[in-house]
Amino acid sequence: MGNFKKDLENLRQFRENNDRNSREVVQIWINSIGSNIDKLGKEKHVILEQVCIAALDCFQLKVAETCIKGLYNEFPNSCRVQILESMLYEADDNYNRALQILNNVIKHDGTNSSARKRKIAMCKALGRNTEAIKELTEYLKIFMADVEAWQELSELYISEFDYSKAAFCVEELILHNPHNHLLHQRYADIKYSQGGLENIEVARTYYYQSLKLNPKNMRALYGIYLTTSAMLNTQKVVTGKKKDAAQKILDWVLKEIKERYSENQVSDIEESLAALEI
Amino acid sequence: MTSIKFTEMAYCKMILHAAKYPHCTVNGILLAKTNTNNCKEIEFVDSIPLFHVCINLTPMAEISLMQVDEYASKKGLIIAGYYVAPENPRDQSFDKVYNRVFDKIAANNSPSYVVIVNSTNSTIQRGRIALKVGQYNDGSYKQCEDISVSDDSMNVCISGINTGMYNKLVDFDNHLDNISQDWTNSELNKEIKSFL
Repeated sequence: MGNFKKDLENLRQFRENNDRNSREVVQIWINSIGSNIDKLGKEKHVILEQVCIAALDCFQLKVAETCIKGLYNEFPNSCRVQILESMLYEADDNYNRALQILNNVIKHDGTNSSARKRKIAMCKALGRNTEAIKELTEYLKIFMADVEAWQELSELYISEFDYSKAAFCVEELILHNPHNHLLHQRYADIKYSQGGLENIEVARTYYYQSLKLNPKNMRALYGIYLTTSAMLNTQKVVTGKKKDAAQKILDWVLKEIKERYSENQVSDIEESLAALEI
Repeated sequence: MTSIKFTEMAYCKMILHAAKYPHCTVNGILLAKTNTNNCKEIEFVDSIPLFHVCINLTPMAEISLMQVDEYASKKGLIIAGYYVAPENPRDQSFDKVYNRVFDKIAANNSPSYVVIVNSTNSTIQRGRIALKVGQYNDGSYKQCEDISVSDDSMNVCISGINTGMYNKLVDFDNHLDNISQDWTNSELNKEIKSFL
């Protein structure tokens, strides 16, 4: 049963790393675990939940149903299982039934955040982004420290091209996690997309910070290149000194970018970098 | 009416890109030959997968367009189209996929094309063409009905999805995460060709 052990190990690793890998999870279930579910011991229920969500991703509703049945046997009144069941209805396009279950859960337990989040996800699935944004802001009034929710809200705003509000959400995220270089970079990306000289200057500062936190962040390097050259081009009155400084930064950042590429020996792509020289 | 053709390479990479990130909106660029620039027919010979995280942010898109432009001109190709596979398969309207990347492409090449990939499993498996193509001209879209994709493309796609070939696809986001990954997908291109 060497394979069986390895499969279990794989599933455990997916859970720990928060990897979605739905196709693999379902494959593992079909190949080995599905028929041996009673041998799993105390891991059984976590795995059932994991497989259930993966199966919904892959539209394997039969598999998901089996998992939910197994979980209901053990926990007949659990909110967590009820939410899984609502997701099954959701996957089957039966949104009314799903909503009914979620509303019940919330009525039963007002602090259940995942039921509320599912409701917001459902708005998104139905393509009602503005409604999702409204619900999510309501949600964040109650659960202010939910980092994932802030992240989701910022992404929703970006998809609606509301950059200033998206920036606000990322500010919130930076406060929660000031040493994450990706957040600084994301903030800079948003500021740059917003446009305008002032915003581009802010963007550059955040790209610097991101690069400082992680010198390997290529996006930050490219960002510095873009913002600096934009500043050189848009500023109508560039005084001599400022211009020289900007030019120096540009030269430096291009040198850095080229170095990264030559370290990795990707000559094909390196040629495309010529585009940056203009 | 313009007739639209996709080569195996262009079609498969679009579909595989959508299959690699089923939970994200993905986008990319379509390349066509320069000399077939008449209005009756356009053939997309290659596609470049671009992003899967936050496709509406512009900085990295600008970088990618610069590099793809350079790459294309070296191969004698032009950037003629833009494709999107929306996260939510219900979003099938051209207005919804409009963003600044496409704006840029449309400004440089007229008419330009926008392709919406409908990436539900069943449409691909049944061999139905999972694409909706619009011709963009002066701010309005005209849907093109005359789309041709070869049977070979379909077969490569189906087997590619079943064997997990999408894991080998590299988009520009992957490249920015790790620059040793090749966004031109030269390995994958060879593999697609070897199927034919």
